[in-house]
Amino acid sequence: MIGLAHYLVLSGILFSIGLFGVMKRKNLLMLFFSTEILLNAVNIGFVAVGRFYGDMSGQIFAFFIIAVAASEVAVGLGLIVLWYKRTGSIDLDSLQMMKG
Amino acid sequence: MLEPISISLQALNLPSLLPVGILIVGAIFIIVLDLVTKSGSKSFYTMLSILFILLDLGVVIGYYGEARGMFDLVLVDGIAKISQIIVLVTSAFFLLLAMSQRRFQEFSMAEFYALFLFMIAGFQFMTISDNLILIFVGLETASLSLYTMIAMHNRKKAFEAAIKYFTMGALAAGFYTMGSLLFYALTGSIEIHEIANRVILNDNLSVVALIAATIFMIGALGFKISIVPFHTWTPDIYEGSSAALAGYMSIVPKIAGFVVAMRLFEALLNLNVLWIENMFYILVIATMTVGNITALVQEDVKRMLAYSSIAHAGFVLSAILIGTSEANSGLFLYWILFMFTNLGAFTVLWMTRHKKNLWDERYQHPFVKFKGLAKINPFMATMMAFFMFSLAGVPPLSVFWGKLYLISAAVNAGFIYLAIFMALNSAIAVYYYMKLVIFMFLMEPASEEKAIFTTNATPVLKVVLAVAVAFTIFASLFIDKILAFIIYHVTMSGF
Amino acid sequence: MEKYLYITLFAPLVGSLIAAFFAAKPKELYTGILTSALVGISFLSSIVLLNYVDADTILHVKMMDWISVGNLSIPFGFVVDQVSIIMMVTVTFVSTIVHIYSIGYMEHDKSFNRFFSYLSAFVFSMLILVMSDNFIGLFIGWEGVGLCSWMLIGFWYHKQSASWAANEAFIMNRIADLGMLMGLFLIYWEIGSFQYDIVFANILNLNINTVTWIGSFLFIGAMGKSAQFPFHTWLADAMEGPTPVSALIHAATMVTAGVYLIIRASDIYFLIPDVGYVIASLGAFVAVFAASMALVNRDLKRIIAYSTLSQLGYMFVAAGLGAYWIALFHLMTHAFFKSLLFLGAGNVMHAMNDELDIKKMGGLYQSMRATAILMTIASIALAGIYPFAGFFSKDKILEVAFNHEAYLLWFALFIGAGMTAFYSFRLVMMVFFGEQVHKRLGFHPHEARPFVIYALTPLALLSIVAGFLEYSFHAFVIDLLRDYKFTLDHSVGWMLIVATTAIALSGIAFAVYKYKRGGFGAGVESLGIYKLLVNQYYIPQFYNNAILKPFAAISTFFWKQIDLKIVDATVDLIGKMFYNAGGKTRQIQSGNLSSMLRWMVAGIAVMLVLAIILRPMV
Repeated sequence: MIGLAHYLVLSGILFSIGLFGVMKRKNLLMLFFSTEILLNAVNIGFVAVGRFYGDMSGQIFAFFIIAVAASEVAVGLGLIVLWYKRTGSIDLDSLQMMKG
Repeated sequence: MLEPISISLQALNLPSLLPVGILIVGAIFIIVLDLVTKSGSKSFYTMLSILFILLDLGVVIGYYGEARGMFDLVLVDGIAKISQIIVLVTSAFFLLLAMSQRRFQEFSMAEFYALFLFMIAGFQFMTISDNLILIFVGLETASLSLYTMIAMHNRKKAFEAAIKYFTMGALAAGFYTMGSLLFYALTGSIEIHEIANRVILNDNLSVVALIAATIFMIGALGFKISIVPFHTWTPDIYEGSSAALAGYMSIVPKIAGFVVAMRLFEALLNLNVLWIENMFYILVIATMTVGNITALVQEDVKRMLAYSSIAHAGFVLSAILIGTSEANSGLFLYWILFMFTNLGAFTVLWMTRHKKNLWDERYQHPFVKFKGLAKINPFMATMMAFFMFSLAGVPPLSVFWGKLYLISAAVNAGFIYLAIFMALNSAIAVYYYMKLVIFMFLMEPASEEKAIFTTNATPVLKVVLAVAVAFTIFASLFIDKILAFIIYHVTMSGF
Repeated sequence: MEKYLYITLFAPLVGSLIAAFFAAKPKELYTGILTSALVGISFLSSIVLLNYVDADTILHVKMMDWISVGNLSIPFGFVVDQVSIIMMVTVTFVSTIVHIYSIGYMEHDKSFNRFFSYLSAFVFSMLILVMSDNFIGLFIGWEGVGLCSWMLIGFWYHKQSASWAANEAFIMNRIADLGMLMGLFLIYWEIGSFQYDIVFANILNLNINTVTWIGSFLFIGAMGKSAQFPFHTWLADAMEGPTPVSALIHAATMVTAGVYLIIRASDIYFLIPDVGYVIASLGAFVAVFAASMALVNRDLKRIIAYSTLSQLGYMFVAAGLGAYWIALFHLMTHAFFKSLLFLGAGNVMHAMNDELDIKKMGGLYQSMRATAILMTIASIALAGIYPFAGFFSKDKILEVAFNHEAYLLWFALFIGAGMTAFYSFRLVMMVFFGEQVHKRLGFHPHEARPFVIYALTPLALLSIVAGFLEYSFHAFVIDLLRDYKFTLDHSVGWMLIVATTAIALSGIAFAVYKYKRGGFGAGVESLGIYKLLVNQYYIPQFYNNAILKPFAAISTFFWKQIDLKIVDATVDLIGKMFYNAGGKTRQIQSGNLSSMLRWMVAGIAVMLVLAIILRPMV
């Protein structure tokens, strides 16, 4: 029997994977994928908890997260394109002009 | 077959959403206008946007209806009103900085103004709701617009800043949703007041899970208001964006973040979980201290101001920790005073913006640039000195009153050590503000050329500067009226 | 009525500001006339207020909220009640006369305008001090008069001794002010307000120890301003300033501010009679101590300065023993005759080309008849001979001491009264009568201008008749101040009066008798006691040798050994520490996006770990 706990654990594992990716990935695209994983991990949790309480707001939240994630991708990809045009690289370490 | 449901228009309380509606309509109007005419000039769009902002401001101030609207999604209470006024007034002033002498690509595009209005609408959403979904949507609307606007500055540094800000913002969004999920899982609600109620009612709640939820929220909101260790974006993003936008970012996103933090964390701090209180204590002190200490070693004025704004944010965050209505009123008071001073300081930087980085390879506004400014342009140097004195908290200039009020709130609430730390940090801060004053007044100028300091100045900018300096100097004259207004609204909404 | 309050207060300020515009310019007669007229207006309007104030009506205005942020509110207001109006009338009256007098006295000074600017500024500060309705206003006035006093003592700043004296006065006062500030902090800490009415209403609720501390700290402030032992040395040195300044600031008004403070805070001191007794004892000591130094001094102005010290001691005795109205009364009468004495001395000085040694004068009565008469009147009043003003107030103080069964204090004051009479008439005799030594030394004295003399007559008149105001004065001020109950038998009171008068008269007689025949022989000067007195009990030397010199030596040592090597190094170290810490925290900002993201995740992770580890705490 799969209960709420399983969904939450799955959500937690996915979130950790996402965090790991955010910390480790040096490629900007991969970094964005990781943040998508973060958000979708949360989505799973929201839907499961919403179902558990018999409450709609969990699902609604998940929908909004999907929408926001989509727009984030739009903006994020735009920025990557700009950067790639300027520098010819989407490596994270090329973003080191400002520090200190 | 679903039952038809009927909802009266009155229950929806549409006027509560009118202010935000005005801006969204305004933004769409600008885009459409740009499609149709193509001939709109920079000043035309600026004025049009300010018109919408002022219209919005009028509606916000004139709103005396029900606090709740749209199925309790919207909550227009006292602190929502004050923070919206701060957001709108600040936006209007900073938008005026678009009318600079030199041309910048972003200001010639209509989309910039549309994005600007969308962003304000996002911030307003954050302030007028205690529903986590609406806050999230508002936060993302504002942030996404802001990332784009930073990138529109069209410098390599601006792109870097935008990407950094964007990536970290995406991570913060992850934290936010995770925090919301944990709250939702714990209590079955995504409305802040309801969450707090249910936590109190439910005895066998996992405290660790509650703390975990709080931690994720600290991460998310701490990113917005730049709390250590979520502050690392601040200096880079300030450096990369134009002075006008950087100044804007030091005020408006933070006040919106503070309002959300106030609603959420004060409800949590009221639960008397010792751990949360201690965590906040540490965060407040760490933020103040790291901000101030790092500001000491900066070579660039804008970066120094970035670190100083981190320190100021830490200072103000103490209000949420203290949690009395005196402290909460102090938060808004401080931010209003800080706003005008920072407006002035960043306007000066913006006016001195030069085409080339004349003084330093990397920085546009290094300290050496201001060497002997008092001899070249005494007027400007004096005004900048006023802003620095004010930021340092020298009486009777504006920010001093905010500091005084917050420290006395801390003492009155029994947070003696916190008050001592606040005072000590103010003392450290004096050093780096004075550094600029010393550069301006006690050093010999590198060149006598006056024009390079005013390449970007226009009458509009001078008016903004005059307003800022007048407010900074004469704040003490009307401070009690502002404070009475704030206290009335803060206590009215129960904070 | 508020109108008159503001006129009283601000007229001197207006005068001061106008005169300040011409400060650097050569003499303009009308700055003197204008400032005198404005101070005169201030005096007239305070007279109006004097008529207005009575048992039921006092004037209390709140001018503005000086600091008002939330619940921290320091309103800035003024109160005209029975005590402050007495001070206001006294201050403005003496100031008016001193202003007019100065027009003549400063006639040839090149900084004529600057002088009047300072002088009026002083009057303004003094009025703030006495009219304020809270301790902060009082303190502002207190510092204001201190500042003006510093500027006026050092008015001839090119004279080294003048600027040294000015600094000495300033520094001594600052040391004492530190005590006062602590008293004020303590008041605010315990009561949460600086307003007199609130403080005095709540002082009863405080722990008696706290009240003792407050009273003691405030008294330290009062000691500095009123030059009580051991802060007394500055007053004699302050005589370097122009004589009108000595008359106004260092005799009639500013130095009495300490007494005023005790009277104003009588509700506090009433609760702590022990502290009051200490104050009275110190006062009695100073009364004799200063009088003894006046006995032998040869400097015209210093003699009067010591006499001022001694009289301040009398006032503190009265105030310390709880006879506040008597202290205030003596303060007022003393203001009249002491300023008269000083201004007369100013005439003598002018006549003698700024010569101050009374041994070089003698027989000046021939050439300066009017001044001689005025100064004799003032001296009789000072000696306390019926029916002159000093008799009434000083006798009352002696009665108070006796009534308090403080016989030692009484005896000290009694001896002091004899000494006072003696040195006053020693001065009169040596200056105006006897052999005309000045002729031998080639001085050609001349009387002061007529208008200067006329300006002094009101003071002389009041020195004679002010004593008869005693009953109406008493009735007027006890509405506000606690009355003092005499339990003495009537006959004992009479005996005291007779005894005091007797010793005063015999002091005078002795002085007249001795100095009519050329004074004491040279033999006296070799007496140990004479040397002791002439050298002011060696206290200045003591300060110099025991405090200043070792202090200088220690300072050099500290500077060379400790400051340079340790303190500087420490300060540098702290500075560097912060700076280095900045360098460290700066490394957080590596600029690398990955590490920035890691910082964020690490922040969350550390907090989560802490939450789990510290679970017992939650």
